[in-house]
Amino acid sequence: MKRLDIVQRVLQKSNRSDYNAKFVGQVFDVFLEEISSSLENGEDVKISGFGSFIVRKIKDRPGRNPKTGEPVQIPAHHTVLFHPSRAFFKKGHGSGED
Amino acid sequence: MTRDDLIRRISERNPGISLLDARSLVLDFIEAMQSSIIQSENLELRRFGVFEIHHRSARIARNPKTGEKVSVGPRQSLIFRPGKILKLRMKNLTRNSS
Repeated sequence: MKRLDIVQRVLQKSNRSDYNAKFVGQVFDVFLEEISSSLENGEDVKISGFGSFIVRKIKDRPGRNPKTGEPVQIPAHHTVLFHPSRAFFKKGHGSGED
Repeated sequence: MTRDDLIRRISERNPGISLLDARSLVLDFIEAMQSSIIQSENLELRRFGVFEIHHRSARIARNPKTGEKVSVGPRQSLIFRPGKILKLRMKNLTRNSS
């Protein structure tokens, strides 16, 4: 699913005559932008009931150009990890474990 | 940053959105994202990233302490892959912190 599916669901659920898809879409963009800019500033984002976005530093390591096989050093960088909240997503899911 | 900080920031930075409206919209966004991920096993948000459910098949594992074999049922995991734009933005953090 995509952005538009979220916007349509929220528009339907909110049941407000003063909202339209454009407005809900803009607020959704603001929502994602606030999360992104917080992560960009190195701050984790914890959304209770959904999960946590965690900024993680990755050390530099040796790698290879997959096309040529040439060894290259992959520089240190930052990435975003996501841990879903247990209330939302259970790993076991039907296996009876966890 | 927590969910409540996120709600406050959205309302503060957008004069047209009251705190109450920001709150109900954010809760609806989270709920719509959850149900989309569970239903279609995939949610693609451009400029942000992709949430995907991965299926892992059942396997025989070992208790690392005792060496005993244990069967692990099939399970699902939810992964988030940051999109191109978010990855690029994380480079700013790398640049600023080095």
